[in-house]
Amino acid sequence: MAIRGDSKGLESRYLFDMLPRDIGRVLEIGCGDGRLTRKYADRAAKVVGIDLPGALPRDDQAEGMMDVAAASGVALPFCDGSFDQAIFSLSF
Amino acid sequence: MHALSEVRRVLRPGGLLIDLRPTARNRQVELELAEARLRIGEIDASNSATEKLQADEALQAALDEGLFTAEHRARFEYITDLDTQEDLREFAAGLRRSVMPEGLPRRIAALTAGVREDYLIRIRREMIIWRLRRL
Repeated sequence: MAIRGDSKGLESRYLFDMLPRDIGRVLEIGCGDGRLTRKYADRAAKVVGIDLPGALPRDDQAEGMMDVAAASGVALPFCDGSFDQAIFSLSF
Repeated sequence: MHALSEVRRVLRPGGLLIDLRPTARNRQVELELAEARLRIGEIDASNSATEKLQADEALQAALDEGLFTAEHRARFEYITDLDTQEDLREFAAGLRRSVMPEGLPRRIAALTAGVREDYLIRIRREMIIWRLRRL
């Protein structure tokens, strides 16, 4: 039994097509359980993921991969120019 | 649009915003059985149609305001493969806003009753991805 998301790898392919080779510092808004983050985190210098409380990854999901913060996209707790790239990952 | 203004603020000049989200199209559910691909139905996404439209409008406003420039846009399918009806139940339980029609799992159960060979339940979701550059 298995649920295989992105089974054809298209999300990964399009994401890497859009990102530069040197990803740098990344802010991911709507990181959820880190599903998308796992795809690119090893190519980033640093990843910070934010989501609403209750939607954040567990410590074991985030450990070693990203820093997480409970925050809303309309009030980001970061200084100006803190990131090289941002990923807006929305799921409805 | 306020969220996009905030994202712009925390991005360095010339930084990229990758905007990845589902379109308003319903998820399509297929059954692959033997050598046939059967279209079974759709998972209704209309509960989130308003939010998706607002997201589209906010993005367009941000482009019109000159906060970002759009460099590239593409659509693709996010495909989820499920091996069993139990997987389908687990998938349905994880849906937040979308609604799986009650008849859909029953239809799959009827089509796979007594089938000895493996089958695959495939769910296709149309996604849109933008690459935007912070001006």
